[in-house]
This record gives sequence, C-alpha cells and structure tokens, in this order.
Amino acid sequence: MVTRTRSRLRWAWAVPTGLLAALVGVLFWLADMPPADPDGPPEAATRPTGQPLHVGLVPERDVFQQRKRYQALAGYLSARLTRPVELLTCSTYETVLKDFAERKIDVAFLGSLVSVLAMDRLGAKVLAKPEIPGGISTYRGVIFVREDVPVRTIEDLAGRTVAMLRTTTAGNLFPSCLFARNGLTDGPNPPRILWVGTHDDVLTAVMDGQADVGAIKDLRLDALLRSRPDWKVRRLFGSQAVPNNALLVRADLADRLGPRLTSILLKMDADPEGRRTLAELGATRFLPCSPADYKPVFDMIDCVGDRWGEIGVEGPPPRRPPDMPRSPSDRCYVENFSSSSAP
Amino acid sequence: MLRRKLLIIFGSLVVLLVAMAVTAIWVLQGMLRRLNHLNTEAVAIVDKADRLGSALTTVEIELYNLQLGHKRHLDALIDNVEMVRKLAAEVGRHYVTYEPGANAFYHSLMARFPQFERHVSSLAMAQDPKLVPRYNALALADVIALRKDVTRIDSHARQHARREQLDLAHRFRWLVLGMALGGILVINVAILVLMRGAAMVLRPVDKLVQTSRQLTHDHFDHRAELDQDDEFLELAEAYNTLADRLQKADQRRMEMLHQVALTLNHELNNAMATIEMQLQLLGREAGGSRKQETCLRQIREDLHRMAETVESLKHIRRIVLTDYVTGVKMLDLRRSVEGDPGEAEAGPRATQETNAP
Repeated sequence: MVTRTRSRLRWAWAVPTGLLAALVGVLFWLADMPPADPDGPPEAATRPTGQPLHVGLVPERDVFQQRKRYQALAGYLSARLTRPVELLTCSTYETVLKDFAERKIDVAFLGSLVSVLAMDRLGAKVLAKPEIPGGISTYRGVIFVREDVPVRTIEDLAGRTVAMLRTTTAGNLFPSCLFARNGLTDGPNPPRILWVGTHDDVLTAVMDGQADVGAIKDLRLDALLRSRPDWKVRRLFGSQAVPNNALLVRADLADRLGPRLTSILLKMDADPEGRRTLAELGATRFLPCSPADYKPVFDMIDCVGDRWGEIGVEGPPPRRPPDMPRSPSDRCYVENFSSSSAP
Repeated sequence: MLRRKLLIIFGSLVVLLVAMAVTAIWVLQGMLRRLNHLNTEAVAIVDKADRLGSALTTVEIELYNLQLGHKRHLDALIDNVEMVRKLAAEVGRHYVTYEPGANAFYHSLMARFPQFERHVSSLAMAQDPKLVPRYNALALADVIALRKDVTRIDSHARQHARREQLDLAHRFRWLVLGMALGGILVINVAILVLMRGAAMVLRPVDKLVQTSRQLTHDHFDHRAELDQDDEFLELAEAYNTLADRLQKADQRRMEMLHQVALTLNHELNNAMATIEMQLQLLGREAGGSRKQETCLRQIREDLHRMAETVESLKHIRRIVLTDYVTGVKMLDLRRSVEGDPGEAEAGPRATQETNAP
C-alpha cells in the first residue's frame, strides 16, 4: 500500500514537472525562432551558367520602366538560350556603338537612326522588331504645334522656334530633312532650334510656349496626349514609318546567334510564357525586320545631305545599301498628317 | 483521506509554482516580443534609413561617374535609384514615419522623388552633350535634397529607437522587481503550505509517539486524542484500543496479585502469630542465656520482615520486575509499592534493572 502511494506521488510530481518542462521548452524554442528576414537572399534558383549574352538598351523614356520591361524579356531569352542574359543600358548612341565595337554588347534594341549607324559602321544585322498593341511596329516623326498657334504650312515654320531632340530620327533627322527639303534651313528666316533632352520635353516646351513647333516621335506624342487630354495639338507633317526599337546583333555573332535569336523571338507569341513576357514588355509579338525597313531613314539622310553634321552624329553619314533604291524626293514626309503609326 | 489532503496541498503548491512559471514566461515572452520589436522595427527603421542614405550616396557617386565620363552605362544608376525607391517605400510603411517628427520629411522625400526620377530619366535619354551636364546637375541637386530629408527621418528614427530602448529598460527594471517580489511571495506561500502539510503529519505523529511512550511506561490509561479525520485517527484508535486491552490485562494481573497477597497475608500471619507466641515461650524458658536470646531476636526480626513483606504485597500499585538471577525475574517490591514515579521520568524499565536480590 505504502509503495503504491509513493509511486502515485512520484507520478503526481512527474506529470506537472514534465508539462512545465515541455511548456518552457516550447516557449524557449518559440522565443529563439529567428524572424523571417525579408531582405534575406532568395532561394537559389536554377540559373543558366556560361558566357552571358549582353543586351544593349538605349533609354527612350522612363528608364526604370524600360529596364523592368526588358528584364522580363532577358529572363525569357535566358531560359531559351540556356545562358545568362544581362542588360546594359547605354547612355548615348555613341556608347552603344562603342560597346558594339568593343564587343561589350552582343545584341541591342535600338532606335531607327542608331540602328542605321550600327548597320553602316559596324555591320550589325537587324533581326526583329516588336509589335505593340494595335498592330504597331513602326513609328513616325511628327511636326506639331499647339492648337492655337497659327502655323499650318511649311512656310509658316520660318523663324519659328522648334523644339528638337538630338540624334533621333523623329526629333532631329526628320525636321532637319523637312527644313532642308523646303529651303527653310538656308532661307532668310530659318527656324530657331531649341534642343531638349527627351520627347516629353519637346511636348512640354511646345505646350509651355518655349517653342512654337515640336518634332517628336508619334508614339510618344500619342501616349503623352492620352495622359493630358487638356493638351490640344495640331500635327502638321509626319515622316515615313520606320522600325520601332528593333533588335540588332553584332556582326561577328550574326551567323551564329542571329537565326536562333530570331527564331525564339518570332515564336514568342506561340507559347504562353512567351505571351506573358511579351505582355510585360508591352508588345504582342516580334516581327521580322530587315535593312529595307530603314529605307525612310536613308531617304532622310539623303535629304539632309551636306547638313548631316548638324545632326550631331560624328563621322560621315551612313551609306545607303547598294540594293536599296532611292525614293522620290517628295517621299520623305507626309503633309496634313493626323494619324499615328498605323502598320 | 490524508493522501487526498496531501495531494491537495502539494497539488496547490505545484499549481502555484506552475502558474508563477507560466506567468513569468508569459511576461518574459512579452519582454522578448518588445525586444524583438525594438530590433526588427525601431532599430530596423534606423537601418533602413541608413541604407537609404547609402543608396543615395551610391546614386550620387554614379552621377558623378557619369558626369566625369568614368562610366557610360546606366544600369548601376538605375538599379540604385530602384533601390532608393524600394527603401523609401519600406521606410514609408514603417509606423515611425507617420510620427509628426518624420512625416513632413517623408512627404517631402516622396514629393521630390518623381522629379528626381524624371531628371535621371532625362539624363539617361539626353543625347545632347550640352543637356547632359544640366540634367546631371539637377539629379545631383535632387539627391542632395533627398539626402536632407532622409537624414532628418534617420535622426527622428534614432531618437524614436532610443526612446523605445529606454522604455524597454524601464519596463524590464520593473519586471525584474515584480518577478523578485512575486518569487518571494510564492516562496513564502510555499513555505506556509509546506509547514501546514508537515503539521498535518508531524502533529499526529507526535501524539502517537507520546502515546507509545506512555504505553511503554505502562501508563495504560493514556489515550491518543486526535481531532483530524484521517489515517492518523485510525492509527490513534488502534493505539487506544491496544491501551484499553493492556490496561485491562494490567488490572487483572493487579487483582490477581492482591488476591495472592491476601492469601499469603492470611496464611502467613497465622503462622507468624503462632511462631511469635512460640518465641515468647522460648524467651521465658531461656533463662538469661545470651546466645539463645540473640537467636530468638534474630528470628523475631526476620519474622517481622516477613510480616512487612506480606503486608507490602497488599499495597502493590504496579508491577515492577527486577533481575533475580540471570534470565529470571522477580518483583521489585519496594518500587512496586511506591507506585508511579512520575510521567516525566523516563528510564529503563524496572524489569531491566539489575538490582541484587
């Protein structure tokens, strides 16, 4: 009897002691648990290894958004090419040409004028161009004025202040071509040029009255006017359509990398992941692009002629490819232009 | 019953100790939560503000590098501006930022940031060599203004963290004091409970031991009196029953001894009276012989002693034995007649005394 009682008492002590020890242990463990580190390194993802493919970009508008959009494409290409893809954002057209020449970039998404320069001076090959919603894969340069400004004809541009953007087809080459073609540049009252930094600044300068006339890329003008419905402009002249941000490959990689890259890009809209990437990029698909698509640029360069040096690009003007026919002189621009870049 | 009482007492004690331990752990957990809050929130905002300042410094360096032509790629600049935006958003999510001392500066920071991004974008897009330095200077001016705001937010966050640290130290001091007082209180309560538990056992045990001692001293009239209803009461009742039986047996023995004494008294007194008369006759016939008179006196004294012994047997009050020869006991008549020597006197039992016969 006594032994049984002792045994029971021992258990009576053991149970709460055990429970207390367990409680203390659990609380101690909970207290010792490190909080999740939100800034901690992400789990190691399976990343392709090997020589990275360097993709050059030239900022066109919001550099931060642009980089994000192209990072999605870089991820997609990396998975398809089974090699890392790195973006290199170049500050100027000179930088991107230099990087091509120094083999620091392998491919690049470039505006039309820089594409022509890259093809002419470095032998780069154009592969594909993106198509954005609305079936738009090209853009035009636009000469525009504020709606209340009484400028309607070429002649009205004489002596007016024109907001322009250096080393761009829409903001520089096209208005220079227009002015040269119509004798304004060498006339008694040539237009005064106000150089600004971005397409957005062109519109701002016109709307603020710093400039009477603006030369801008139509796609950007459309986007800006959508965000500012109170701003009313009148489009006077438009250039021929040129490819919008086409992808070019370095000359020495054209045969090895070009076909594969073109194939991947052109088939992107055929698979779900590709469509997601295209949506992030702001495009619907990639279309083939050839040097012939840049014929309007060469036409404008021809039109500028000896005044090429005023464009702000060092060196001689790009040479038209032998197989590219010249256009009639009146084909470098469209009057009474009102629509955006239709395909 | 006793087991139940002990279980209740010790169970209460265990519950009290467990409650105290749980309370202490809960309170300490609260303190740990506050400490964790201090590390992850109050100090984290300082860290984030520092990192924001560092990111702005890096942006500044990138801008200078571009200005000086040391760099021609914008990726590091873009990444760092993104980092600044991310850190600014993180700082903005923190409650310290909403305090009056930091709110205005944070709003100023966030109001300036889009302009700063525009200038960086313009810098990135500008192809005109004359415009690039202008946008660069504007971006640098923005960075300086942003840095001022960040510095003020950082300063406020540091003050806030310091306040929280002091508050935590103050609370911890009170917590230690409270836990110490609580611990002392619980220890005292535990001592009282243990003393009560011990008393529940020791008090009846003392009484039972006392009863045992009384019985050992043949005080069979002594009874163990307990006022608790438990196993000790059962034990005391058993003791008392035993004492009853011993008392009755003792009484029977005493009665028998008195009867023996009366019988001896009756028989021996008659014989001694006869002997006495015979001795008187012998004394008259001795005729002055000294030797005979000595013998007769000796006989008379022995006879008197026998009479006293027989008389004593009638007055025995208790039975006290003493050694007669080895292994044989006899009645200690003198002490048996004397009766009870006293309750307090505790010595070896009379039967074990080795008095010479």
